[in-house]
Amino acid sequence: MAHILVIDDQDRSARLVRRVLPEHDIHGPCRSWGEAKRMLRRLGRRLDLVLLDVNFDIEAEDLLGLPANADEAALEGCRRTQGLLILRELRQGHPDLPVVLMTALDDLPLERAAEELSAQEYTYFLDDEGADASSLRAQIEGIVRSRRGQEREGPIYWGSGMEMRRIRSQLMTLARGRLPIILGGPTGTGKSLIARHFVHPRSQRKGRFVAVDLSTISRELMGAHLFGSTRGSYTGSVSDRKGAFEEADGGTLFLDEIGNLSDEAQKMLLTVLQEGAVTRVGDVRERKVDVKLVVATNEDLPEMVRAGRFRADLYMRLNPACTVELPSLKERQLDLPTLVEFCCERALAGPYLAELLAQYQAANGLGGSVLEVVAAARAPEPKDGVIHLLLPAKTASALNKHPWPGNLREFAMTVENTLVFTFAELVQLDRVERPDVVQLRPKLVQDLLRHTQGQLPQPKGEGLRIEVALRSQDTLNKVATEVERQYFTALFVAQAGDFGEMARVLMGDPDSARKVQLRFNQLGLKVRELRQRLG
Amino acid sequence: MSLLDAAKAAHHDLGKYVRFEQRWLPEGASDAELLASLQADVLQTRRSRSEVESAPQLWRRLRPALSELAERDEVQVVDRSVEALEAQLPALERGSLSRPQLDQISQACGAISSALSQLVTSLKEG
Repeated sequence: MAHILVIDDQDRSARLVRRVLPEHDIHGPCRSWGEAKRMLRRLGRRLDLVLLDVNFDIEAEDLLGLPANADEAALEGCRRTQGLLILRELRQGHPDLPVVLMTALDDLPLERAAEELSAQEYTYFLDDEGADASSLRAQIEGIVRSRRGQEREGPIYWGSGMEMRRIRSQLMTLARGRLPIILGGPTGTGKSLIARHFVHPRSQRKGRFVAVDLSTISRELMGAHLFGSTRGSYTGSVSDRKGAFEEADGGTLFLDEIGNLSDEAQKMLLTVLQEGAVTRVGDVRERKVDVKLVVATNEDLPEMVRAGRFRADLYMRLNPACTVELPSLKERQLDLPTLVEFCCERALAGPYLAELLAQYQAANGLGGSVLEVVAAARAPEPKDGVIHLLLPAKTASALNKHPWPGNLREFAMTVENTLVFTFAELVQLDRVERPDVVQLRPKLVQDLLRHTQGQLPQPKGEGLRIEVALRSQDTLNKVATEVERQYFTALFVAQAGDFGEMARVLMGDPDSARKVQLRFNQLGLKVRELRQRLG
Repeated sequence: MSLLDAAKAAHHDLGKYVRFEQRWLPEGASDAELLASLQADVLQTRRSRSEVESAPQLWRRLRPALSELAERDEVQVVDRSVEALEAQLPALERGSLSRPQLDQISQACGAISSALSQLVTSLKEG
């Protein structure tokens, strides 16, 4: 079952889609961007597809992008192209969400369309002359299948933050080029997953993906492992052997922990990058190789170059100008609610949890297999075929407060452990009052997190990060206020919207929550908006 | 509003919606299914900001902007087809129509849609 949102000022499309695709969950119609925005927020990552009309015959105050003092012609023009304006807004927060425009491409003003539809890969058209029930069904099911397929490509969650979207777009460009890619960022941020499941499939290369973790190979054998060896070239070498470069010929080679590369191997790698050919250890013959090279490190490579531990000429060959730095999970806090859902879906696809879930469903007579994560204190209304995973505020708060030294890897494991223990306990019970509602208990999550809290070294620069763009005309007062606003916002997120906790951090007194809230309001920060962002 | 814009508006508001539900009917749809889709397409063709308009009401609203094109075949086809629909409105509301009558209404809707589409195409081509 897919979740499909209809954005249209008319009821008729939504009614028809419900009739043609009864097995899917059709939401809407939302008659304006305002309504659609609320629905998009509510559906979150569950949403598979948007059906969007272009022409919106709605009141002026509900129109998006209508200039002040617009005359009748401008008003009419805004109505006739409202769908394109909505699409542009929608793309800000949902760059990859498939959207079907319920019109023919011919009907669009082309110069506008070219600009608005820059995310062409994810925008489709329903030709209103030729379309019928079967073409609609075929198109929608094709899109949903392809989207689900993309999600199955690998456990990568990009989230909706600007920084991750920028990184994703940068990687898409770099993946297709021939230059190497350096992936930086703390441990557990998904560097090898990105190399394997994102860069390689988009590199348009037919060869294999080969990964080598340089921290696990002895420095003496590194050259042979990467570039191959001939019989007798080192003790124990009993036959000629291909190295990782030759294995990855025509494909992608991922070198993890590149900072561990020995001096000798650094020299050899430089030659390979310069010549496009590899020479096996103990051999003189060059062999041509065509490899997309992706390297990763959580070390500071420029610093290693300055300290003489990494060759400057090799570093320059690795395309340092396009280094992609993956942020720590702590810097992606607004993504956490949807990340829970993403990790739950992935964890439940694993054999053990899938079996536990099946046992639980059989014991409680539950049909269907759809799981929805609900960030709420109370159980939602029952819905056919849906098991709700309830994420109470205290559980969300525990997840928000944890420093996540192991980043995404640690987060995914915590979610999986939570589900395993939860379902393992539930299948033992004789009776469950609301079997369609499964609570992710805060106590369990807190217990799981206790094991890593404070045990790992804090990453460099740990703390709340804020960035302020300074302009030449800004007064000190203006800059100070902006810093304070951002600090309060970051603290609000870090403390999961708990003013008592914020007061404890700011003043050492949790009873001063009222004072903090007062200052919050004075700074023009909107509690409701921030809570919505927190999910 | 230019003539092309007026034709586009007529194509979108009337041409698209006057056969909106019929297009989605499964093959071999029953008389009752065809009747229901025609009632929706002809009697409640488009919901504007304030009211629900039937196909003839819509054409009366949209046609003045196309008066310069009154002699063109496409506009005359729409005029005649809308007239045919208008004659059947009371029976369509009551639901007392035979299958041949339903098919006639459906053909009139198709003719309106095609004529308006052709009108837009020929105006675009100059």
